[in-house]
Amino acid sequence: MQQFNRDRRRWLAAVRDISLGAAAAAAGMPAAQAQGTRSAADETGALRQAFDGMVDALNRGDLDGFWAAFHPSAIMIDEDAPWRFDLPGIKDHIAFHGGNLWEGFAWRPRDPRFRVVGSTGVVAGAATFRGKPKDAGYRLRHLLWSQGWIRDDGAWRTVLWHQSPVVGHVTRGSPG
Amino acid sequence: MSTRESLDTTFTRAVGVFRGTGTVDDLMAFLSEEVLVIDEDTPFVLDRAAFRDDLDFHLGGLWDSLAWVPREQTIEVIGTTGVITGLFTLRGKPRDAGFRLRHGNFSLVCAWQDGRWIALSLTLGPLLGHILDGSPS
Repeated sequence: MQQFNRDRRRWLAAVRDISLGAAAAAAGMPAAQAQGTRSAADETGALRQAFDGMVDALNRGDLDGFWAAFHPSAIMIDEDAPWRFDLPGIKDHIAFHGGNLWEGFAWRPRDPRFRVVGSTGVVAGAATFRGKPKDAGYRLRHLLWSQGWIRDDGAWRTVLWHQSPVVGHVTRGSPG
Repeated sequence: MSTRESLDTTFTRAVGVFRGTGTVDDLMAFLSEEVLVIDEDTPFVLDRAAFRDDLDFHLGGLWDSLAWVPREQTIEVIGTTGVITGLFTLRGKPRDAGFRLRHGNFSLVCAWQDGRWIALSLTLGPLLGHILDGSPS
């Protein structure tokens, strides 16, 4: 099934490229120029869709769907730990949290901004992490975060997720 | 030179402004016009112009000395995308105040465009706010 989906994505991409080339020729425009113009908006929309899908999967507790958005080489710097995680490391960490420790959980992005250059994408913004651990009061934590994405085999995948708690950022008078 | 080595060289040159080996223009040349910056010194996202404004404020004679030292840096290149992560120490002495020493983690997402590397994001996070005590008590 995965192979089928990969082949289908390649076929759809090929059809799109052929269509763009034909449209560009009709308009007297180099195909690459037309594709570049359309691709920027298309790819930003595709990146936004991939990002929304990943966040939605996380908030539904669909970890298979969530991890599907990650590249095997992904790195995460999480506000929950003062060092870097590789993908097995962050999966292990999330598996711990997913092990019946929470009554509710949500990661709500605020004002995400999207950037795309070629096959590289960046999303950055603020977020609220909120929920209720079992047998403890609710948790509410505000964050700043950025993500790196790459377009890999026709799909956008996360290669970096870096988030830090706003409480640690400098909000007081300086240097005082 | 491999793409990984060229990214390493570009990054080292860009942050030379904080080691006395480069200028702020070297750093800005590395940052895309569309770059998004999260700095541990501010609690919101900065665009390129806002980050330059912040740099100009700090580099305009407010410090007797200032250094940004990357540590345990890793660079990964996947196709035309480069990812740099690591820890850092910001250290120096503001004029008319005691020394400052701040540790954090950093990351950049870079793209290979028109024969050179540009950074689309620069994120600096403080270690101070990370969860270091028992949870969830």
